[in-house]
Amino acid sequence: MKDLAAFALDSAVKAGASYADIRLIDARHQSISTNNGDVTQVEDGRSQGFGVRVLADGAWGFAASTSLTNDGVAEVATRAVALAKASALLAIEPVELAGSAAHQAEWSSPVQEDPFRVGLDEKTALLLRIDRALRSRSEIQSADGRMTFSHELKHFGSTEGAWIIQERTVSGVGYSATAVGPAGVQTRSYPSGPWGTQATGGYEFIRQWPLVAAADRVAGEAVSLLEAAPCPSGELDLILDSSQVARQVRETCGVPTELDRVLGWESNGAGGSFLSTDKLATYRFGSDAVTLVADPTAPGGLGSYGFDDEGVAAARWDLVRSGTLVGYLTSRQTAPLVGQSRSQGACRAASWADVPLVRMTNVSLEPGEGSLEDLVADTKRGVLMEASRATAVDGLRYGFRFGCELGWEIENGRRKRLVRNPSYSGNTPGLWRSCDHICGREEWRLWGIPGGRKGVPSQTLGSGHGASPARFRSVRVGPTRGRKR
Amino acid sequence: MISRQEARALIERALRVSRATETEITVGGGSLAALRFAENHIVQNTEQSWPHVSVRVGLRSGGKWRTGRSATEGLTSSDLRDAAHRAVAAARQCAPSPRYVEMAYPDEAGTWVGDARGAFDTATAGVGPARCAHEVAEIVLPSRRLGLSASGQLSVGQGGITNHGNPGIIAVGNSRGLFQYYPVTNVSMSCTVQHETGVTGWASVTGHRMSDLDSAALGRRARRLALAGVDPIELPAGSHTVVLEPAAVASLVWLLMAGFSRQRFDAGRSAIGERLGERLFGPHVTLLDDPLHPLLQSRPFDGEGVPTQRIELIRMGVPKGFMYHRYSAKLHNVTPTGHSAAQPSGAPEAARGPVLLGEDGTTEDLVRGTRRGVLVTRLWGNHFVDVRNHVVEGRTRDGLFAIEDGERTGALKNMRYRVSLIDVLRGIEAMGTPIRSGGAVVPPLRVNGFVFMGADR
Repeated sequence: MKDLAAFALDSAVKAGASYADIRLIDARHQSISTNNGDVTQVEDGRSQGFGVRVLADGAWGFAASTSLTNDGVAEVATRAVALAKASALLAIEPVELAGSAAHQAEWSSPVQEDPFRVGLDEKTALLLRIDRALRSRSEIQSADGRMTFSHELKHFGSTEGAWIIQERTVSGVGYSATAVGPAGVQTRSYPSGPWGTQATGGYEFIRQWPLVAAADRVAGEAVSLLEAAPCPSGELDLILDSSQVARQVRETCGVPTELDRVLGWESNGAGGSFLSTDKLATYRFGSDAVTLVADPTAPGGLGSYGFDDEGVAAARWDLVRSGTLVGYLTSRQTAPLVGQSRSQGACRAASWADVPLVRMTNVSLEPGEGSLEDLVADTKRGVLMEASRATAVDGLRYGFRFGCELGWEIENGRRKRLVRNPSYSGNTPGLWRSCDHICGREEWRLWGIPGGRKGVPSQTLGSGHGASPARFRSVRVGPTRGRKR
Repeated sequence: MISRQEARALIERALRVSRATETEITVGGGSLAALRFAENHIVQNTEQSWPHVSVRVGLRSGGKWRTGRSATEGLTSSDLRDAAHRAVAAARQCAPSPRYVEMAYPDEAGTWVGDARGAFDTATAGVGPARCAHEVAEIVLPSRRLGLSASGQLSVGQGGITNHGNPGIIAVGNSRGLFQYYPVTNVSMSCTVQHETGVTGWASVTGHRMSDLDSAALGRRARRLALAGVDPIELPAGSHTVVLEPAAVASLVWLLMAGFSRQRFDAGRSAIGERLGERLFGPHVTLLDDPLHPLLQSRPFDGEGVPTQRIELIRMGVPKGFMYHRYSAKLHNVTPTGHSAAQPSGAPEAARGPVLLGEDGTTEDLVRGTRRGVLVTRLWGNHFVDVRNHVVEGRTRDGLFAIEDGERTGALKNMRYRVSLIDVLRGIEAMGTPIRSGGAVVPPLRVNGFVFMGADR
């Protein structure tokens, strides 16, 4: 691989590149889905290829292919340079990269049990056991389960002399039960949200969840929600469980701190960000209780790695410190644009065929203190919401509306009754500034949220988000309705 | 672009190395050039080229079927054999599938009638970086001169790869003798132009040929919308008459199509499906699914190689029928309509080529006929809040304007909306000429009773 990489990089330089890097990736993925007693998907795929990224005449070019031969890599490298030179015709300023050490390193995500050595029969049997448990209640019309596994061996080389080998295994699981009744349809999921949760790690990540034991409760809640009272409306105190805080962090902190988005590079696609660069170091993003960090070194996170796809070593940094915006997710190109001499190392691609973009790593809310039950007991009137059901955020990540699967109306420090279709809306700084309490480390969990599309062609990359339950004061809870003109 | 002969030969090679009771091979991949620009310069210029072969097997034992799928990007005999073995291994380890439907025979659901050359344009396939950069320059350079900021993308592909990042389908063949092939080239360009005040305008076009692309016109439209959108005021929340541009209509039509999935209806998730045969809308409302419509020319067979029928879902205001994949067709003893995803999959039927018939006229004609209303350029972030009753929410984006006495009178701040798609169809007052937009063929519409919930803050 190293010889092939060197040949590609040499070809790029000969064609006129001032910088070049290459990622050669051998990947395997496996996905299993079940629905109502049937295995609806079982797929085992392999993908092997490479992508060459170059700077020539001060502009970027990128090309990718599966032709892992000297001729193949040379052709792709030359093509990438041609693309860069075409881009340069419209350049305003040449691209300049922040410096980066040329690492010679290896990294692998810790794995206790290789998920590809666990038989598909064991995996499908587990999902079908869960399925049977969910559908033991007659009101459950649909039970869906899924597992996903991926393994990636990545070689990275650059004309600066970097040579990094990384091996990364990701495992994921999730299921949901949908109850149908005269009043409507209700869905409950486990461990969180409709797409489950993922982590870097092996099958031990699957085994850690009491998947079968939780199924009866999950199905029972879906059924109970059919008869539950509607969520109250008004300005109420809002407590979000750990998984929903994680979702809130992802959508209203992780996404808008992607610096390419801030700079307007995504305005035609995924959108922009209200966290403009003039706000750095001064903007009051949240209350003093709110500290948000980006940390690709966090063990087991879906956004964990040793080096990003520019060869920058993973390190932890603050995005929001005690409420103030202090950082962004950056790349070697974007970091200098906010006066930083080094990239934070948040530039990744979803596959060898994709060009690296600024992406979330693990973006997490630092814990506070106390338990969820203490927080509920301390709340006079409000709603506790669990598990993401629907997400709607505007193009700048400022205004939002979130729906959750389940809510508990709180009165005088106690859960009064179950409520259905809970939702809340507001704007990002308004919500985070109203955060007056975050539960402690004992309630903190690092969730892996899959999905996350960005770029053209679209790349799907998950991210990790750690959070404890948290309370937000006087939030608009319940649906907003248009008035008759 | 893999030729018909090459695709057939590849499929036959892959079939030969499979030991399964039955085997289906899907050939996808291709090549895609994707160029992105932002802040008036090119930020990304990429090309990717890769084949994709997917193997699905069915194993019959004791009258029961097991199934599995694997994929590879290698085309050697060793790669294909490995993929076949993995598919068989996956199938062997799985429980029998009660939903399994034996693979399709050739012509079991009819044939498709269209141009066997597909939607492949040789000139488009040969487009190089210089031409793509030139198209972008047609948008970027005028924006620079006017002090505006242009962003956007241009993607040119051949084969199955689209800018959604999936390998797509070029050909399907199976051990029962079925073989389908459809070559395409795809061109997609969109741009957003931003005024210094933050107001944006947007324009987009998709098609199969570079010769159909007029990037200068695209840029002009986006700039015009951006400049017209300066100093927007807030519209009161409530029910309004709207003129929806085709891009906005396409967003809603795609969501509406979900209501015509037989699987969704069987799961209790389609109120419109409960009212087949009733006149729900005006006689001007006719909705089809037709991937071979001349303005679409999309792949005319589904993920199992079954031809996708041109079907009337609503005829003159009356919902008429459903889309059926092979499993729901078997359950209900009807002919499949060619709306299966690649199997195995629990996915419901998905539209392949939505077409909403219209009348004559442009968006401007509809504006001229509006006494008081709102012109909507585009809808975004659209999602169901009530799948069964077809209630959706979302936001407007990139151009919202007040209409008074047939003229645009000023820009409005973007709004959040919530509508019932059934009410939207019922509220149609006027329709324009259908055009291709957002992967569908739809007219501009004037609709009353469109509910805005409040301004984006």
